[in-house]
Amino acid sequence: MFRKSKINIYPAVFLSPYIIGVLAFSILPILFTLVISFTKWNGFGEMEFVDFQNYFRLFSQDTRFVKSLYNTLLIMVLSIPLTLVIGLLVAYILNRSLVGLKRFFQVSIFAPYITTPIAIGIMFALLFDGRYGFINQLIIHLGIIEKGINWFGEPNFARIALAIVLIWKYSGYTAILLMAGMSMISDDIYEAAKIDGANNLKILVKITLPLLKNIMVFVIITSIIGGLQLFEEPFILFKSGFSGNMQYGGPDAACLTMSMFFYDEAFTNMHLGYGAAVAYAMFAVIAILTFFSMKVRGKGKKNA
Amino acid sequence: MHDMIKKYGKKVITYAFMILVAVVTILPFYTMIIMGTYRSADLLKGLKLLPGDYFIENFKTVINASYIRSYLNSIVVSALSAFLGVMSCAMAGFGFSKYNFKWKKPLFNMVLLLMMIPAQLGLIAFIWEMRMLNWNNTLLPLFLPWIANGFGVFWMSQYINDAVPDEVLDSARIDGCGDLRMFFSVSLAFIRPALMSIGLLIFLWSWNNYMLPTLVLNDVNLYTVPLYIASLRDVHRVDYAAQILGLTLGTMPLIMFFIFFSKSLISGLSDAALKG
Repeated sequence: MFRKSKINIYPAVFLSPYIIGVLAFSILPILFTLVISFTKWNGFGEMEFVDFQNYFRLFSQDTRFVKSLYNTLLIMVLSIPLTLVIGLLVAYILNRSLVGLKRFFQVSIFAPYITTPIAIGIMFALLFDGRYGFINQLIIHLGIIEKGINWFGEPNFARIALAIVLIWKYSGYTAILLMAGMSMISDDIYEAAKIDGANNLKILVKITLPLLKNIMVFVIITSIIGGLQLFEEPFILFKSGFSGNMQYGGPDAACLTMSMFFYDEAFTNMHLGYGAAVAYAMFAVIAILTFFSMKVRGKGKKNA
Repeated sequence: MHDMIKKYGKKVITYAFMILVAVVTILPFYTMIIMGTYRSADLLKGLKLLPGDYFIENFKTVINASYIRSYLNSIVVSALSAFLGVMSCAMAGFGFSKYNFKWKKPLFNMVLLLMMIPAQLGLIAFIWEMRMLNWNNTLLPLFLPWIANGFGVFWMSQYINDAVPDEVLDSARIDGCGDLRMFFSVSLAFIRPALMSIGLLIFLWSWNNYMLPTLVLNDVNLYTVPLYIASLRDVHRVDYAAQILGLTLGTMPLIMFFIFFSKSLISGLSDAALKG
């Protein structure tokens, strides 16, 4: 509509709050952070320009950044595939059967996603506690092991505990997104497959999964983007002094994620220039991984 | 007979799996509620699955003025975030979907591009900017940036495109309706479900935000709920049970609130995923 009018001021009127907000709170800070990333600065004194030194240090001298990237990817590998499998199973079951209880299950599996991440961190710090934690008490009670596991004392157990928290938080959310995709698949297709004698597993693999492809790609890409920015849960679990006396990022910094490293450099050590370089390096990692996952999607589309 | 066993066996396995999933989901919340009803000393003596009798005492320890203030702060911040965010997104969405103008295509591409950029990218300069404006240690930096939510703008322009018919706008125009009224009195009525979904999501995201408030707030009186909950560990360092009850009281009301609105929230998230 309104194609005839010559100059209309109203698009500008309607867009102005967004445009003003984006300039003030996104674009200017993003550009100024880029400038800061080429300096040495503590936020108060003089800015000292240092060319590419921050970036050079990041990739060649500071083992902590590379380690945080490794940790982040490892935690993602531990948590994302299982989250997808559980989410898919739950979605499939809720979509195909259990009609009466569907709403109850839908709401209960959604609860972790809406819970404040800080509360989740503290809750699981208590549950995984080496001496008094519910999880150790339960597995001892059931007779699986005799002595409790020191979840936060050993690097790999710490990563596993964190991955369990993330699986717990995101499986239900994933299931709900996948259910939305499944509800778009017509019942006729399932009926036809049943008549042809296909069993449930076969239907899931041969019919549901291929038709779910687009939403699966969406879920995987958003999981990757979110996973690379993981901050609150590991921060509260593995901030020194929170779950016992430990170093920032857990035992041997096994759960130091990129965002935690960024926070530490920029806001604890007040190395703003270096922190800004970390932010841009993180952005580069996220952009590259997102680009590749989209590429894979594009290829799949051509073959289909 | 064999088929019957097979059929029921499958049903039992399905139910068992779903019950296990539900138990694992709810158990952490349940143990948290139960642990808040015991004396700290009793918690160390073994597994507790039934409520104790020390709730009132713990409650008295936990509830105080700064706790209630953190709740009020969070409500103010999240409500303003949701209101400003929804209005700005809906206006921008209306502009993008119902008008043609010169820079439309590049501007919309900018919205999409900014949607993918992580929040940390501009954070250092944003904090500095807030300090320059003397906005640090106020609640302004926590809700004002929501007017620039790219996700909401993208979603709204798709939604308005589908939900607000051009014919209605055309006939309103013939009746002498101005552009502003066309948006505020005609279009908003058509997009109520989307306003609700985006408003709830922004409320939730804003409520759960932790990194930004820790960076801009020093004053304990301005603390939001996540900050207050995080500080509980220091305040009640010795009183384990009180700390847990504080956590329960800090999270449960919001969970209840969102369970009440879960339908709208779930449909909103699903909608976004299907379009993405």
